[in-house]
Amino acid sequence: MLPVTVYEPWGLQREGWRIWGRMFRDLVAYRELAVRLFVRDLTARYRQSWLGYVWAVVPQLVIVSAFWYVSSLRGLEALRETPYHYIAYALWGLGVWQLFLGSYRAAAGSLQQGGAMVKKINFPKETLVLAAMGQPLFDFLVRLIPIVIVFAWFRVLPCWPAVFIPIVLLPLLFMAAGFGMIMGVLNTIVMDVGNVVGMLLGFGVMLTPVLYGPPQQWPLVLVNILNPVSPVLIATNDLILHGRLGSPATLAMSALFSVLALGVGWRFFRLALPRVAERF
Amino acid sequence: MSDEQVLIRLEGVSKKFCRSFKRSMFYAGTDLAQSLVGAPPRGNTLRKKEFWALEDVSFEVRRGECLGLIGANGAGKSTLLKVLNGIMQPDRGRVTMRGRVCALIELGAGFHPLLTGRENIYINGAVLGLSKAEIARKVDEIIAFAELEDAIDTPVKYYSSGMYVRLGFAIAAQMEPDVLLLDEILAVGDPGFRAKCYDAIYGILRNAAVIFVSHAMAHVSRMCGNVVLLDKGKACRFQNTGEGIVAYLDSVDRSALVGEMQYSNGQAEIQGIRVNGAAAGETVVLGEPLDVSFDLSLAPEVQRVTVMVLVVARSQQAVAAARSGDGGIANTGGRQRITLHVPALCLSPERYALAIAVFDAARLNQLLWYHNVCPFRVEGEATYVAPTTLLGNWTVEPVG
Repeated sequence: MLPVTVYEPWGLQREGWRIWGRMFRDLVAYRELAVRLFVRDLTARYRQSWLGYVWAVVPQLVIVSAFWYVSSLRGLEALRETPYHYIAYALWGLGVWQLFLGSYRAAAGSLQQGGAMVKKINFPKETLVLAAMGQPLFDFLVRLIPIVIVFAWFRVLPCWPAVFIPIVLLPLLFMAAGFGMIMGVLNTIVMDVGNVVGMLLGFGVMLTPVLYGPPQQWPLVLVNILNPVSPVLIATNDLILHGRLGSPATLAMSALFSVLALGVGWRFFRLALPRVAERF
Repeated sequence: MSDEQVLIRLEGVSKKFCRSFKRSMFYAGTDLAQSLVGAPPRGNTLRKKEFWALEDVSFEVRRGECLGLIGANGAGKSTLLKVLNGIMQPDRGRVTMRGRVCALIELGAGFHPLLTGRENIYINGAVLGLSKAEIARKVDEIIAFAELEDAIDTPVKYYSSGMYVRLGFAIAAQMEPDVLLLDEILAVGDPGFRAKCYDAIYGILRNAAVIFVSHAMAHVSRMCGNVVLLDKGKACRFQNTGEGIVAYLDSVDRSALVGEMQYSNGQAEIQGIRVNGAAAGETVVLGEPLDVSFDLSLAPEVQRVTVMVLVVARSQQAVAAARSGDGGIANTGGRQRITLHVPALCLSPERYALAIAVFDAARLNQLLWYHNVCPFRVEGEATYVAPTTLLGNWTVEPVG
């Protein structure tokens, strides 16, 4: 008995909750493609460059040195009041922030990047999102190398629970994927939305305790709570420094929010895709 | 035949598009919002500036059948393939596909220009749904089929368009699909490779249903048992490929807009071109005689000329030609009537026009040409599948 596929107007909507089963099955079935596309983009990205992976690290080091210099200016010493050595702290924070921002941008841009494939080939397009998000994750891993060196240099020894950091970082990836998928679809309809969000996210690094320590005073403390990225970053620093979570409740809220964002984003992406394919 | 064998079924499939870009952004937004809140579909009505790209298309294709999908530019062929492949959702109606579907809507979609042919085989295979082990097993076959042994480790951005197509088709040919959708892919590639493609498609066809989109009627008549003609989104099915092809040629006919074209370097002149005595619109019966005649006058410096008469079909293919004998035609100084007599015409029933050229027999340069003159029609019992008809007799005898 051959598998039967039926295409109808609003067929996806009629499926209701059952669509989730298919979404997960597709994801499993096409994991190999996602890996291949990821490797493809990675090799292609570095094939035309001599310095190769160094490019993943350089911008990071430049930004941190710049801020190191700025924070040494008179009147800005407060910036240096970070939980541990400023350079190590900022480098790590920036790495985490870039992981989030990069993942979001990759997810949001994956449909446009996939152009011809979206238009001409029938396959679960989440694969494109997944593959695209592999790049920032890879960059993050490359950036860990200078981070480890800097941590060793300034004798910041992370506590052992820091091994749980990958799990703590998951909400970041979920949020990036969820928002990225929504934005990716909207971008194919009107570019404006994506442009505005992209601009706002540029300021995001200022609204997250990346290049400064978590604020303690009202109202700046809101940065730690209202920005869903902050609790994750703070949690990683807590794990590094104290070996335990300082405020598990805000982290849990953030995680819950991220799962919701992923669910809504993914579902939206699925429903919208047939409409998106028409627009290419 | 059982219902199991129907691999492709379309029931009243319609798809609408919007002509205005700004408006289409607005519609896409509202459609999206509606689909999110689960509002009931409103596919039946056209909003402002919308039109049906496909309207109420219904047909079936069974295993072992190759259906030709033909139609003028913008008739909806590619849209229909995308709906069949699930890339676009229909606005009305229902598409049912059975088994593994492989669509060659664009060859090499998903090829990365910087990666080598071999790397791209793995990626493209994965895109088409093959597992890594399956691809590894077939990779040598694919390379051999594509005849790219020398270039397989070169980045594909250095490939010629023919090499691109060969690689893409070779990968797809290894898919063993139940349904194969082909969009105008044999246009590139040299005739040798095209022959291999035909072979591969016939191989697939034994176990699959194929839909074949092409503007090359020679390919359609060769591949397809029957055709669907799309005209402004409406479909008409022809069980007889020949009738479908003639209807297609009628639908794309712009001969009313194309006049006769001529050129002369001044050394030759012809007048009064006639087919069976008529200047235009003559009807000739298949198997009956055909006479092409005209008056030729030549400049004194030309001694002998060769005359060539071509019959051109509406597909713009030259389907028959005649050249005046070896010695050529001598210049007598005055006007001469040249007649080409064909005792029994074997052109398939369709509409044709003539092209005539005159060469200097000694220096071989062209003195004059006429294009698209003396349109005439051939009538007869057979239908247009190939440009010529074999005027033979059938005999049937019991054996043994």
